[in-house]
Amino acid sequence: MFTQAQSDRGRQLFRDECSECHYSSEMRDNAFQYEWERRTVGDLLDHVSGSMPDDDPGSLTPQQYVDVIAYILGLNGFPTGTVELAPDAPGLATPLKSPGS
Amino acid sequence: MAIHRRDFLKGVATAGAGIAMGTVDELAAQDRPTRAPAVRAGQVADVVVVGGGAFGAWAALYLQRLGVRVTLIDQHGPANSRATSGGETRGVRTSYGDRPHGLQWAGWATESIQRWKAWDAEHRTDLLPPLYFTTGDVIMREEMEPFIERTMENWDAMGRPYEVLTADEVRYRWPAIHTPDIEVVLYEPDAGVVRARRAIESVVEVFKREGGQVRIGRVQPLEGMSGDLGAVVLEDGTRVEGGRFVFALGPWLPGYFPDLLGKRIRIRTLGHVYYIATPPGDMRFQVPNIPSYNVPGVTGWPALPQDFRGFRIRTGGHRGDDPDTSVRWIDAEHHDRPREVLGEFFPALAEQPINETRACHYCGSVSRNFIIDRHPERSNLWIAGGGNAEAFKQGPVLGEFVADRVLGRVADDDELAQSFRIPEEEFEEDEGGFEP
Repeated sequence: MFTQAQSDRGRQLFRDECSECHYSSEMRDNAFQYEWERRTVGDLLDHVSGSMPDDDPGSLTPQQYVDVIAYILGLNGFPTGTVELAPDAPGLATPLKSPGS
Repeated sequence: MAIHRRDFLKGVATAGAGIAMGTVDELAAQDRPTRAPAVRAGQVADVVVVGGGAFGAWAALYLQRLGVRVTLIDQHGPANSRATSGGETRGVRTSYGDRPHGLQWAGWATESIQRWKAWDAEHRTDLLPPLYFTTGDVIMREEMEPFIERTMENWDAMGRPYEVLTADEVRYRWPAIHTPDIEVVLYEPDAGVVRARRAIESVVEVFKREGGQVRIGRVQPLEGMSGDLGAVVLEDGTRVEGGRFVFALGPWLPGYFPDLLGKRIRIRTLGHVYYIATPPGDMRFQVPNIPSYNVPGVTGWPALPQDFRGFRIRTGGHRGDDPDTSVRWIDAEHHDRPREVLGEFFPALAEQPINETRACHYCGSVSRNFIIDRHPERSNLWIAGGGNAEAFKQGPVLGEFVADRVLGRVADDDELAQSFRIPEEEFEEDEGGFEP
């Protein structure tokens, strides 16, 4: 669904854009999984791109947003592959319930 | 039956776990609160509460009403301008479908609403409006979300009244609200707003009238981290002795307990609150003509009498690592976001002046739950904090629980007590730029 290189880009973006307010461990803990277990990767992308950064939602590019989502998927145990996640990829319909849960 | 002070202190001094068995038995058997005698200068308090915010002020009052002598210490004074429990208002709602502890919180918030009303009935002065206003709370989303589903599940389980509205119904009831692309609406009619600063002031005033002592001063960092605590020392050198201690320090907690809480409570995000001027003579944005509201990432409520400081909107925040020095006003570079949201849902306010801004620290725990627990190395020292932006509204219930825990009226193995333990997990530092 996403590649390691994409996840690495997302990690750097997370550090630059998200860590002002969020720890990465918040993106995979019990509370995160409780909140998102009934939703899809696309829902998370819509949420993040529509509401983050908190004071300037939508200010990242679509590619940057999916890179951040790829990083979060990696945190939640989703395996890397050979194809990058794209803003309109079929993988967006994947349930967010963590593979490890 | 009131606890005897000598027994209490003796128990504290001798009980390894900080709980005196005889004393606890007496307190646990107590079914009617009593009033403690006043703490006089030079006397040793049974319990010293450090921090006069929502946790500390309510805990001090309940402790005292259970018959012990209490001294409350705050570095600037309760409800001061840097306090996390300061500021003008806090919303009270029970819509916690997005929180793992949502059902429990919803129950406490429901009870708190009743207690806020009762507090007004008992302590409101003739000169000022009440502290609690029932505004109702309208939650609007573009589509059904688990947050909405779970909130309704919780409310159904509790038997709490609510309404599912359409966007048309929202505009009919409250014409000043616009509903662009809104498809899902929940309305909680009993939700409301509390005057925050005034509420804490009133709780502390009642505490003082009933015999409590308030001291203004900053407690020095504790020396060593083990053994029972006999006293805290203020920065002017004054020792304040006590039998048990409650540290309810909000965003100052990680600084006082860096090893224990430095990676378990994060304080670095400050929420942004704006009070928007309503148009002169326009009553649409004042209580009771418009409800509190919740749209993605944003909450707010109507202007309240008597001063009508403005229509409240809360958006995202900025970073501030030190609660002593963090910036508590909001720079103009952030003002576009609230105006954007106002333009979407309350367009008549989008270009209105901003009357005032305020920023205060969120105290997020790694467990996402409140922390009410005994210090692991100091059996007579209790930690109360980790409000996760939801503690103030539940203060009247939280404070009672803190008091019951400190006095042993709630056992360590109680299910709720367990849920408020200092979490074992920590925020991680190897990812996401953690900077202790």
